Amino acid sequence: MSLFGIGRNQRTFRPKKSTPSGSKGAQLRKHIDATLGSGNLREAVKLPPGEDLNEWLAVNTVDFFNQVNLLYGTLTEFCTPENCRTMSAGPKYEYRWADGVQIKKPIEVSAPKYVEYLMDWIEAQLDDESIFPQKLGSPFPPNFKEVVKTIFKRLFRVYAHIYHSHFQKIVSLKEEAHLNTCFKHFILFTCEFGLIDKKELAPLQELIETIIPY
Amino acid sequence: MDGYDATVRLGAINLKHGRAADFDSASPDVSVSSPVTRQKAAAAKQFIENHYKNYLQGLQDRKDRRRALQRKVQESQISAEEQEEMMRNLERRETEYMRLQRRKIGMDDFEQLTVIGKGAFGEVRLCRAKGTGEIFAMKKLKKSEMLSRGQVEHVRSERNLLAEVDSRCIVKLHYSFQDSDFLYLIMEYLPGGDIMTLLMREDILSEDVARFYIAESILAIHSIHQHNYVHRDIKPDNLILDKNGHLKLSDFGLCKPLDDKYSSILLENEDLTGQESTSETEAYSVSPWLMPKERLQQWKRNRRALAYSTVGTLDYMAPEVLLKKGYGIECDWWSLGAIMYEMLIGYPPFCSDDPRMACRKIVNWKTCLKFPDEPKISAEAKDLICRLLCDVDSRLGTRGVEEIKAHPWFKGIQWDMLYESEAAYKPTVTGDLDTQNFEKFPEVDGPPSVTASVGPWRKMLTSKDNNFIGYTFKKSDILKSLESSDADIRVNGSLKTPSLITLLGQIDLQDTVIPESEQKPEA
Repeated sequence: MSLFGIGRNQRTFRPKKSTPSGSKGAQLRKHIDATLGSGNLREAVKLPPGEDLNEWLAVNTVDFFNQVNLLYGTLTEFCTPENCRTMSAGPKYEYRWADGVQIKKPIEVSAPKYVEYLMDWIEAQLDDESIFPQKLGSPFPPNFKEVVKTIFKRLFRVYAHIYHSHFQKIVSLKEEAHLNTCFKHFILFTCEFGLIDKKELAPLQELIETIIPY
Repeated sequence: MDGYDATVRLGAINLKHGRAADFDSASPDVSVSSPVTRQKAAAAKQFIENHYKNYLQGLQDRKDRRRALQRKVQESQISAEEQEEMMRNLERRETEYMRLQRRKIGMDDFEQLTVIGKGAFGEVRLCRAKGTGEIFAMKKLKKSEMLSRGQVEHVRSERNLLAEVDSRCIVKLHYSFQDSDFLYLIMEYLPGGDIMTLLMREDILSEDVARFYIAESILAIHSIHQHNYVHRDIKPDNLILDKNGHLKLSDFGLCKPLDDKYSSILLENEDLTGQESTSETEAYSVSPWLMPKERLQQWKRNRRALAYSTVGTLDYMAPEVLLKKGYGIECDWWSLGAIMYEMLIGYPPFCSDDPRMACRKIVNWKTCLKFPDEPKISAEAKDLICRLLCDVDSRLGTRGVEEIKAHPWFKGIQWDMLYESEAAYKPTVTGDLDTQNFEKFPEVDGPPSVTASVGPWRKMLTSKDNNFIGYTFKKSDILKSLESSDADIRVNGSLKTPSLITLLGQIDLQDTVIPESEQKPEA
């Protein structure tokens, strides 16, 4: 295992040293109540009676991937290497990319590049029959939930970037109800199954507290 | 539903009124983004709305199935052990269904069979699902043709309507997907052929047969109106028969009548509405039955070719559609009137060799709508036709479908039982693969080109083809799979001896995951 130890010492996620933000949260709250009125999402995230947990995690992971993919896809005109030099989530947080295989040491890349790496990686997991089996009867791997947790952690970063960097464009395109609904569903599902560490959720803490009061 | 917005954009199937209005919104904020971005946003929003509607409905359906089974086992006199067995059975099938939902679908899943329709935009072909052996109709559309001929909205609208409307009156869409060159719609196969085929074979229908099919058409048209869609292009080739002779609404025409090629005709509004010269008036007032018989036969033969050409036919189109004035659901009832006329008389009321002439006749329907002495039709039938082929304001259906149903010609129709009753006409169908009710097409193209690329899936879903965002669709039939999947699934129990590569792969995979979880942000 020491062969791969070098990667462990690096971090893809670190808080940036800068002044804390105050206005971003207030600005977000202005449009936060807009949703699609999509019924009771709190009930919808629960594991259906008799259902296999991994199967439920899998089908929802695919759905969340598709939603983030589509929502981010509407912002490619604005999320450019010039406008978003780093994958940031507000002034305090910045993400650097590493997948531990091809890129072992985290590298600083622009936001669109980061998202491309991220989505390509997730799609590779979803397409991997040994992780997300598609044939009836094929079993999930023992570490399946760990893979799902990594996927969710990374999908969250796209939401964090969108909310902090492009929310005004989302409003201009009249997508805020759609974004908010997808994010709310994402957070409710995450908390139901403990898929993202609380610390990772810090960039959107204020937003999340309106969804899940502590 | 009066007062449809006159600015709703034309398309064979229009989007819901509210949604169309959203698309046409002139908000100053939206102007800061490019048309491509706005298009992506509109498609993304619709995808998400559809997703949540289907997602929540799916969960509700699942609860209903479970509750229904629980009620059933409690009422029956079986042992607790057997009850538990039945519940476990349902749970296993629900799990299988859930897995099928996230399985990607593509061309490799289907064996291509007989071509049953072919045109400039693509083809319709029988196909068999490799996994289940089920037979479908595969409608394959060339993306390049869709784009160059302004058909994108049409294709999206059709796919959206078929995905949204679940009705026995509408051809079912089971899957839709795409590759780099084509869009695919995998639909229910209806081996009975279409009403056009029936009319070409029978020449005219008896009033009883016509009444049956006009009645079923009314239910089909009403079912899309209830979802706020206007078909706008209803014609005999869009009315398909299943193996029992019941009718379903579809759009196998592969064409859009109102494209640029016809704008020169339609732009001459004055000419269409005016009666400038006596000779022209006389020319287009000639009734179809006065045409030489062989010319009429030629018209019918050309009619089938038109169905698969880029120009299609305008013969059934309402005047308000041709004149590009605002139109609403009433335009579909006009089309129904023209079809009814053809069923009883033998040809459409405004048919002509010259599409321009057909347009003029339709726009001048007051002068041109006439009935021949033969064949004889009842006074009620004639009255109904005249109440459908008339001004929008006085047209039956404008104030609701019930006023059409109440017409005396439909006396005796049991509207609630139409699709359960025996059909007025029973098509000849021999086996699941029978295509005798469709035109024969030579296999000139041979097997499809292998150059079309499929991946990556995500880019098919979004960025690469902006115009076809969210095209993928899957509507697995849980009830069917519940009935058919009684065979136990064999889990692959043979464990291979791990090879060095496998071990390294596993290590890499673990390393991919573990380091991330250990990298915690500083406090």
